[in-house]
Amino acid sequence: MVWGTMFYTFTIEACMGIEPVVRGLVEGLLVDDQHSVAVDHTAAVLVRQIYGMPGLMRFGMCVLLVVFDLYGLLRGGRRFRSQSMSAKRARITEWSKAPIGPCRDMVEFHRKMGTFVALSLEYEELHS
Amino acid sequence: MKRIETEVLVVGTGPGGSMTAAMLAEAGQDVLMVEEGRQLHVDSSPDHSLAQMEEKWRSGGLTAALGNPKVTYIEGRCVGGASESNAGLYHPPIAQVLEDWRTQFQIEDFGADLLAPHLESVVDTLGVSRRPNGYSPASDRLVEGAEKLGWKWAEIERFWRYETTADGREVGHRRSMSETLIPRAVNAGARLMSQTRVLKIERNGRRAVAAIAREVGADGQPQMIRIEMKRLIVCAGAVQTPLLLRNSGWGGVVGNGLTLNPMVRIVARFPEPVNRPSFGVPVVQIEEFKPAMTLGCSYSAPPHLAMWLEGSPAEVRKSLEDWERMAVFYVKVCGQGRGSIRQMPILGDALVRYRTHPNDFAAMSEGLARLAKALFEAGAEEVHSPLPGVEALRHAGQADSLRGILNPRNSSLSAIHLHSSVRMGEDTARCGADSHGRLHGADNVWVNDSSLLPTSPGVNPQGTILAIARRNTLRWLGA
Repeated sequence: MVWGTMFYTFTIEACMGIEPVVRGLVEGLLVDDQHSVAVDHTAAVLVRQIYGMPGLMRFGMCVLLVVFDLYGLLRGGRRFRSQSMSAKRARITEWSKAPIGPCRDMVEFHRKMGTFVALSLEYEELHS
Repeated sequence: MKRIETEVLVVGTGPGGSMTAAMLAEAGQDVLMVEEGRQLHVDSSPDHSLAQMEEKWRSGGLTAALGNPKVTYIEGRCVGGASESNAGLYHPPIAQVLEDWRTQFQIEDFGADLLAPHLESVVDTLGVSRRPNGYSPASDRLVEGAEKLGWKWAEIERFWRYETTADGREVGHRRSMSETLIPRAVNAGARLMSQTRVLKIERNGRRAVAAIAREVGADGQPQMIRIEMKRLIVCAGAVQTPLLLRNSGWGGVVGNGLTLNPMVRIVARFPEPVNRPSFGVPVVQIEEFKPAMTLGCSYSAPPHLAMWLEGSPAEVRKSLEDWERMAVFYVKVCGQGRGSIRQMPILGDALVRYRTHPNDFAAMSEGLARLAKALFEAGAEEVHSPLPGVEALRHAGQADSLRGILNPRNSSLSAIHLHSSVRMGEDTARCGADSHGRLHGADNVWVNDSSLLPTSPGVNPQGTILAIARRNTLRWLGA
């Protein structure tokens, strides 16, 4: 139980630090010329969802997001969260075509869930 | 550590736990129900909304069985369990399936005739009904396609009550556990503790003597509780029930044999509007291929459509400009695969693994082809493939191209019904519990939920789970 508590504390701490990366993914994936998205709200919901995932999934997602953030440093000289929109889109495209399954899955999760969350927020606002 | 005493401890308040608690309390027993989730009003959040996912489903609905491919599934986590947010479809079990269970798993005093009075009682107690004002236009399309192909279809009744208001509006009320059996249990003297997770059972040999639980108080602070009981009944669902039992030292076949019904979905577009989310869950299913395969229509509000449309978010949004002419349809197969529940080392979470059987990919692909055919017969102008990078189908002649299309690498599977993780029967090599739910290897521990179903029933299982829970509880009461 002690190890479990420490593990959870670690992953929760890690999750707290990933919000800017998630926000960057939401911007890069969902925002375009024709569609505006409630980026902050969508990102906040996604982070809350990651925070609520079962332990192993949460840990995996946090690690992938941290690695993705640092991957930006390797490819563009800055962490993903600090890159321009076009650079962000390029990093996302690279990971969506990566040979490593979990990298593709991470982008796919943000694409699918991000679209679902953003549309849910729009839809619920429209019908509230 | 706070101490509580009870005669009977019921862990979990889904359909199995609620039925058990209500019957035992009404028989005069001292019953304590504990539930990990919160106590919420049945209408605390809109159906199928993001808020409902976060409030009433474990991990906000983001749970998955690991395997190739992984299968996402949902588990209710609130007072009333999944009955608070599911479609509440009532489908009586198929007699041949019950007979197969009886013979293959050596279940005593079991069969369609013996279960029939329990099903009748469930229907009388909860009430099931059909929609008074017809079903959704998307369901109409499914009916039209089935009839043109000569396939059987049916409108499935729901645990639901409808009223028509003075101005002609149809208002539905879900007959969930928090609306039906839980109030009955409480009125009969049962106690209910929500936000209380049982972590472990203390044992004295074959007997359970106490449950160690963590309760989240009104101030949000957790505190540990020791609940001493004479009898323990675990009804926490097909994942959490075996997890608790294994964590308490009851291993063996407990947690083996998990079955589920893998589902795959497609989106179809019609020339005319078919989608009105106010219609709620579509209730028509194509029955021609049951129990092996069910074809039906899903809730199809724009966010839900988006989940099943492939392409970039911009392409998805472009497609959704036509959302009123689109609807989500599904193929659900009675999975031949098997899975297991174990405790994750260190974390203590459930490690759910599932191996989808190769035949299931073939069956789901076949189902997609049949579904597409029916939808084109009903006038669909476009059926979107569930696979990325594959062009939408435009006519019935292309439906056959979906045969054999799914494989472990490209499939995105989901499931809503999990069972069989503590199967009932006298075959101790395969069954974790006896013919009436008593755990093999324990004197005072019973299981009474979906875990007991020996395999997937091939139909929506809530009625079967409730009927079996009633049957077992009556047996314990000596009736």
